[in-house]
Amino acid sequence: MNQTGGPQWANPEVTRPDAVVQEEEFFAPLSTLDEPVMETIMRDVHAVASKLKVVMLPMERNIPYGGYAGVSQSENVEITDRDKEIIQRLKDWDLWGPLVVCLGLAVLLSFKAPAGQASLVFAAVFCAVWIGSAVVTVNAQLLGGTISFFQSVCVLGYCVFPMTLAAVVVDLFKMIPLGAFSTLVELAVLVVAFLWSTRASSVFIGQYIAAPRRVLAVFPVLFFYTFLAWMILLF
Amino acid sequence: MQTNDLHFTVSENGVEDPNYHDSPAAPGTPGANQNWGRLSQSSHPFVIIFHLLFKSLALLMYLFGGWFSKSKNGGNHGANFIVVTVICIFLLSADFWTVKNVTGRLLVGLRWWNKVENDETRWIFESAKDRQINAFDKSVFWTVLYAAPVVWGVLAFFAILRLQFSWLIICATALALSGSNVYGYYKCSSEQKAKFEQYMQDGARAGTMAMFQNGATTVQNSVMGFVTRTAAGGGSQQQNQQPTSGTFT
Repeated sequence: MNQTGGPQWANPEVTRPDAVVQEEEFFAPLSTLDEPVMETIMRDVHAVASKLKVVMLPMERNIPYGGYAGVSQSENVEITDRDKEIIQRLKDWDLWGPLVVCLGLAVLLSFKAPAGQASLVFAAVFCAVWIGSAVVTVNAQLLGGTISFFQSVCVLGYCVFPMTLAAVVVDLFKMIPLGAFSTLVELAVLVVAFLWSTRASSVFIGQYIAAPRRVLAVFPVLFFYTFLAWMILLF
Repeated sequence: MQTNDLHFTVSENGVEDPNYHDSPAAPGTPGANQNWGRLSQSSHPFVIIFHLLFKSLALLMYLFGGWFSKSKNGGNHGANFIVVTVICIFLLSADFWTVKNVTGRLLVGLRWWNKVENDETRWIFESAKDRQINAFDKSVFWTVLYAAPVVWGVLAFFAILRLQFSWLIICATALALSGSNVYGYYKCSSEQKAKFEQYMQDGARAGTMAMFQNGATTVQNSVMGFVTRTAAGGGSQQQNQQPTSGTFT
């Protein structure tokens, strides 16, 4: 992958004569004809993997609110370099990652659900992720944010990944007989996952909204992940 | 089928050789290719197969995995539903990916994609100029493209009538994915129309006129080829029109 993201043909050089550039820009996508299908697939796989990695970057500790600049009321939001990097990477959006993450979470939770409710849990989680992120985005747009729909859905979807991992971790903890402590341990894991999930997403949503209305836009984001965490805790 | 179609034939400047596409596939050898039927009219039989493959698999999975099979405890729910849904969603995504990235480009020379520039998502709808489009490929591509959301819409309607709202997940996914492909290619195609008119106004470049004439001949030939083959049940051998240069395997 090159730095600007996307395949080579998406970034035509500007130094060449106009006619050549126009011609190349026109035919460029078609020139991937000779590209092996494997290469095309691997390009998408790499893009998804790098974004999943970037979502899991550790938090920075030496900033107030633990990185929750998104909820602050000051007009100039201080975004840490790491958050900036995460958001920048996620802006080059795709929906494959969210699809995989969301299917993973839905399948995991439906395995653990009681026999009669498996399909209900699956459907609920699947719909919650997609409809939920759409609603959160539309809400932010209605509050006056100049936010791109697909970028926002992408960020919200990728940020579900810590939740999916938490579901796995909670599952692993269930194998250890912890007795009365098990719920506490699960709760602790989910709180960490919640902080991890909402860090980048709330900052991302928050930076597009004017300070007085920022809480109104960020609150649904927190609610979205709270719902998912609650689903994980239930099953 | 002729193995030529497994190769993508590209000339030096990265454009597919029009001569290669120009050929309305000659009627297949009698007997051997009878089952392929009209598919032999296509310039890209394998691409057409992939254009249809994932769609039909998803549809079959939905119909036979969902509607007609019941889990043992009588309900239509449980692990069965989840397995069918996950497989369907994967098939539908595979179809979306194939149609968006491969078949549209090869069958009709159109492609839609986006790139992110700073905060803006720029949508790019492209159509190849001076390219010979096989009429059979074109009609199959557009018919199937438009049919997919219609079929899934009907199935969604039945799912509502049957009060099986959880199956709507598959229908909604299918509608969203096939719908965006329809929209994307429609935008490409209307751009193509505008582009074509622009060309005509510009004073009819020779290349454009040649394309138009060749296009008409292609339609005529493919119709004639079909008629001949159906009537005679066979005909001349497939001509090897594959250029020697620039062949990628």
